[in-house]
Amino acid sequence: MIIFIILPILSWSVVAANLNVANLNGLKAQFQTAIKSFSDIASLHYTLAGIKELGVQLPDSYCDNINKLVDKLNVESIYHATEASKTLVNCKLPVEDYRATLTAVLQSEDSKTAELYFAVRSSVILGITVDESKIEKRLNLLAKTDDSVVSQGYALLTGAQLSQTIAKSYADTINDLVQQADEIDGSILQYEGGIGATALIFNAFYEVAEKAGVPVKIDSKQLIKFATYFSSKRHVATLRSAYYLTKIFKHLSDNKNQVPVVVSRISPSAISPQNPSVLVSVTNILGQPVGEMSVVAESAKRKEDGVVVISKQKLISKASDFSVYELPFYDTKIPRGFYTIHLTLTARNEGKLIGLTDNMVYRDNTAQAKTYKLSYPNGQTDKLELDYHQKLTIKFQIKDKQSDEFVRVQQAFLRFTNKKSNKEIIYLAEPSDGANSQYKVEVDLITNANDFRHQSDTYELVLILGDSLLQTAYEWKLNNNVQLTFHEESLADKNHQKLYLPRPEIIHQFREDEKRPHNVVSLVFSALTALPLLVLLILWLKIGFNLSGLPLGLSPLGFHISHAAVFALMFFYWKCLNMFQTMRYLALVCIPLFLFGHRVLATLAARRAKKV
Amino acid sequence: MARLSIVCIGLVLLATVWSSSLNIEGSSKRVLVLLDNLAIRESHSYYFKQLRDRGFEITFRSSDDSSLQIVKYGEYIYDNIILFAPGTKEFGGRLDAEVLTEFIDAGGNILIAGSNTIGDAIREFAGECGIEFADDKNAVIDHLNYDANDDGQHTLIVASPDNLLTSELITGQAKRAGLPFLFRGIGMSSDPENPLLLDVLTGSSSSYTANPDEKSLAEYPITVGKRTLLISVLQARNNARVGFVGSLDFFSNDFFDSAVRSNDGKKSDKSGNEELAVSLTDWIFKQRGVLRARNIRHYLKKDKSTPRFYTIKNDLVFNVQFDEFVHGKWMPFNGTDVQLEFVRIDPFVRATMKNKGGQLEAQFCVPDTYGIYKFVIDYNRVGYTHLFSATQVSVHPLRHTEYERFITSAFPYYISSFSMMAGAFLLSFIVLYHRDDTPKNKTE
Repeated sequence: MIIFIILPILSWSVVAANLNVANLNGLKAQFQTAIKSFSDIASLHYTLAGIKELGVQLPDSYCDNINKLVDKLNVESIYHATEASKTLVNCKLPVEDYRATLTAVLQSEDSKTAELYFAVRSSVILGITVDESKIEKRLNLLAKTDDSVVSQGYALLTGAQLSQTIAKSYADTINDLVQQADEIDGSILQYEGGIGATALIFNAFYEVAEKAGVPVKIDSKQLIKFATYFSSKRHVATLRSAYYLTKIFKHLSDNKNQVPVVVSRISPSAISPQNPSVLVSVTNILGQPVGEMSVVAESAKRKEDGVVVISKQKLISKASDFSVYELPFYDTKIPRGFYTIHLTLTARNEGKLIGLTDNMVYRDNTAQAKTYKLSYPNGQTDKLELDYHQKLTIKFQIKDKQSDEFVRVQQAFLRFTNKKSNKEIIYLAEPSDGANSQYKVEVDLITNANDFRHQSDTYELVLILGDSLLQTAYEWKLNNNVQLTFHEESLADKNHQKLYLPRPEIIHQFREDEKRPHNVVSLVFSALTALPLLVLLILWLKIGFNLSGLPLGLSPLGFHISHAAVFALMFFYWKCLNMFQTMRYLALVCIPLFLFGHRVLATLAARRAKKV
Repeated sequence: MARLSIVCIGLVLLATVWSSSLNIEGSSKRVLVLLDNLAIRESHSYYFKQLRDRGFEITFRSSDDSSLQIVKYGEYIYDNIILFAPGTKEFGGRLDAEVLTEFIDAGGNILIAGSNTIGDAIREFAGECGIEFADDKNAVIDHLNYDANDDGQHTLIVASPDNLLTSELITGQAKRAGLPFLFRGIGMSSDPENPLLLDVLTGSSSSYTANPDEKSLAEYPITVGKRTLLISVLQARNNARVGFVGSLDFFSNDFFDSAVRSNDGKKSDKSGNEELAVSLTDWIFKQRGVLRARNIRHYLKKDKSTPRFYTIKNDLVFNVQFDEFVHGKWMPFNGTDVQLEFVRIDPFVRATMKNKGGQLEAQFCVPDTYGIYKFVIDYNRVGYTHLFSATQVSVHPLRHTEYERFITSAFPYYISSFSMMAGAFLLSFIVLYHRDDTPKNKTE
């Protein structure tokens, strides 16, 4: 078996891409969180079984939880209960309690494939005998009415519970089922319905093949694509998916089957004197060694110019279990750059090993691809929600009623109308070549986000078909309520109309006045300032005073009048006069004030001198 | 002699300056009509008659006439041009896209009609205005809205008045009348970055522009849905107006008179083409939607005097008279959304002016920030000419004598001063004239 692996390497800085080893720790952690509390029997089943697959045996005390949570009238509940009890060492369930429900489902003509599987599997675990030929007939009947892949997966699982011959006939159908898987980007395979459905079906392949005693008939290329898909699921949302994923990883690393080999770079991406070589690990999907290999670096090519610097160099095994190989790479002669190293792996022993290519960048379609079928003139009434990592694909054909031929038209537009702004975004549908001329429009919400100006909103979806040769053109409302959600902030529409609109009014905000005390406070303090004068007068009256020294004559009168006039002038200065007027008047008043004042004081001084 | 020559040179210069701009106020009505062939004059006679009735002086010329000119002795001899010559690759005489652009720069107006072929000169001129016509042989196609008279290619489309611009100035009563329009011609797309373009009539959301003879669309059509422009107009910054109509037949007698029978069964005895064509021409040739401002006055509210400068916190009144050109006469403008801005770098006040019979008035209090301000009126509305007026005034801070006096809170200070003065006055009597009796007794 020879495997080609490609490792991109940056020269002094390397590498690598590589398929990831399964995230077992993540799964384990998920189960261990779940084990702390159970809400329903299904999660109990998945947790117990999942954790057992990972090599942890749980105590029998969970048997009580099973008996508590099981619903004896529901076949699905019984199935989960029996599966859960099987994981425990010693947990017997009362067979008779469930016999009636199981028999009813097995006898019923209405039961679905899934219910049938639940009933059969439960019966097998509980040791109730079932009529195999009847079940097989019933399965064949159901296969005609329900051809979904999940239903087929359940049929396989049921087949695995029956006799080897029946299982073998089912094992032969595996290949058909594999063909129904959707290929994405040419690198992964998955079923409609995402990880849950894909894991269930893929697991069924192994169960039925094991029962039939035949190897799983999947082409190794397809197996790698499935394995790539599973290993890329680092985190899964539901316990159910986690459980099936655990089982699948077990199957994929079981040496009875074809084992995908994971080659990954474990040395740092930059090659330097400190890290002179490229280390690669070669393991199975669980990260376990797969035995001795001869690993040869076929070539190392520089990315820019394709210069080959290494050819046919054997890698040296670094670990005793042959899980790590080394390629000395650092050499001053090798110019710097990004390098891609091609490795060829050759197994020494006779293991069934296949290569698993490196991890690819691809979009995670966990939200499941949903398909709706519509025919004119009916629209879809449900709300359709699309978010930024989804794509809307519309395929249609136009048939001439008379000639029954598929026709082509000139106008085949898919129109989105924003329900709020009435803005239209129109895409052209392109016809395929060939007679049936199928039209297809693909709207990817990432690459086409600019057309929508990232406006997450409700849109109307209309298909317009018109041609001069059509009698009537069609405007087909596909969905009136499409909710698009974009990743980035929406951009406003360019609208020059704003230039022509009145602008908002501006009212100037004046500075606020300084805060002033209340008038009452001011008046109270004004009264207080007048108080000293009053006190002076009262005290004078009390002590008594006289003006006996007042000399008679004109000069004291003149002096006091002009003295009062100066003070009056001060009052008028405050009240109405300006400084220059005041100075002028003051100069005038000062002359009599000085003359009269001088005479009064002279008179008083003369009087005092006379007395002495 | 030298003085005389200077005067002569001055007169010549004045004449050149004068001639380089046109009277843009709608009172001049000289129209040049350029036609592919003179048969269009007959097939579109209703339209031209309407123009003549409106007082336009029409000169018909063939577009390839070698003596074609619009400037004579440095003066434009036409105010408006109608280009009904979509098929003309190059105009005769001295007329090309550059001359047309200069004509617009001088304030002239142009109406252009297209058809499924469009000459390079018109394409180039349209490009200058931000309009791109679809390639030759393309036509606007609408498989859902076409007239019964269509020849099977669904290019004679019925345009709904719902897709018409809501502006009575530009489209007249065409929107209110609700009559559908017949259109056969080419689609345009407009430069989304050009704010001066207005989409007058667009196609329905199922229309597109493509070559009707092609089996399937080789590439994305130049216009799809409502972005298919049928009629658009441009009002330049100098208020010159340019109209683009994708269909020459739009103006034809046939379309004016024709009853419309849409494929979805809607009938109408008359198309709306005539109303829209005439209204649009009226607007483009500035018979409507032209504004002017005059008699700008501003004064203090309290004594109605206009000071040399305003002081902060003055109440002032601003007054302006707006006139609108209606049917050849200046009438008082009755819009109520004219705004006055009081701007010092940024607007400090923006007030909507009250309209009393064309007399617009705003009152406000001068902001308490002094500086050089402008009264700015920047009136830009769909359909009207852009009216911009700025009047500069200065705003001063308060003088030292203009601050507030006799403040109640300061009364304690005033009273204490005056009580001190009164005390000093009284004390002077006691100090000077009081005689103690006691020492007298002691000596006695």
